[in-house]
Amino acid sequence: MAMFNKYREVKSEKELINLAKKNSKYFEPIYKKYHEQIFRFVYQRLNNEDDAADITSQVFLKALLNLEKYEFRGFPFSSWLYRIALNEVNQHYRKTKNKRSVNLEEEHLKDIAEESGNTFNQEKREKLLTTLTNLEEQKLILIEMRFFEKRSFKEIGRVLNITENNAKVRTYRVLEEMKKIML
Amino acid sequence: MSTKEKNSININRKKLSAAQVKQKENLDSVLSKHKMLTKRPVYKQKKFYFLVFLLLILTLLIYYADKEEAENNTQTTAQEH
Repeated sequence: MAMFNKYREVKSEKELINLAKKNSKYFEPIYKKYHEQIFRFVYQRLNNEDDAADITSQVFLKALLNLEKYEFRGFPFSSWLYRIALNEVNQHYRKTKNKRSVNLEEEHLKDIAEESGNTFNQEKREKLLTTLTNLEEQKLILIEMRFFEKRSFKEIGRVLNITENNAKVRTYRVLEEMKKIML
Repeated sequence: MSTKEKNSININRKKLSAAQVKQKENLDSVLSKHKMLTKRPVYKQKKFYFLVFLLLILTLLIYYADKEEAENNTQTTAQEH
C-alpha cells in the first residue's frame, strides 16, 4: 500500500513537472514542496543565511530554465534539484574563493570516528577536525552527505550521478584515508 | 610544512526553524527572472507584426486620402477656370 501511494505521489509530481514545462505558473507547488529541503541543503554548506537564500533562488531558477531537459526516470525530482544545488554551491566558492563552511554536530564527529574504526577521544577529535579542515571538495561532499545528512548511498549516487556502489566505494575510500591520518 | 586550510568548521550551529526557512521563500523573484530571461525578442513576437500591419494600412489610407483630396482640389480649380 505504501509503495502504491509512493508511486501515485511520483506520478502526480511527473504530471506537475510536465505542466510546468509548458507554463511556469505550475512550478509553484514544486517550489513550495522542495524549498525547505533545498534551502537546508545549501545552508548546511554555507555560513550565511542570505547567501543560502540567494543560491536557493538560483537553484530553482536554473531548474525552471532547464525543466524541458529534465526527463523523468523514476527517481525523485529532488535528486536533480540537489545536483543543481551542489553545483551552485561549488560555483559560489569558486567565485568568492572563500573557505568552504563545514557545519556539523558533535555527534557527527563520533559517527565518523567509529565508522573509520577509531575510538573517539579528545585526541582523535582534534585530529578529525584537522582532517576535515583540509579535506578536498569532492571528498568533503561525500562525508557531508553520508555522515552529516545521513543520506543513503543510493541517494548520494543519484545526486552525484554515479551508481550506489560507486558512492559506497568512494565514501569508504575517503574514510580509509581519514583513518590513516587519525592513527 | 604548513598547508593552507581549505575549510572552516562550525560545530553545533543553531538550526533554523521551519518558519524561518519559509521566510526565505522568494518565488516571485524566481518567476520574474525566468520571465525576463525567456522573453522573446520583439521582432519574434506576433503582436509586433500585427502592429506593423496596422501601421501599413493606416499609412496607405492616409496616402490615398491625401491623393484623393489633391485630385479633388485639381478638379475644382479646373472647373473654376
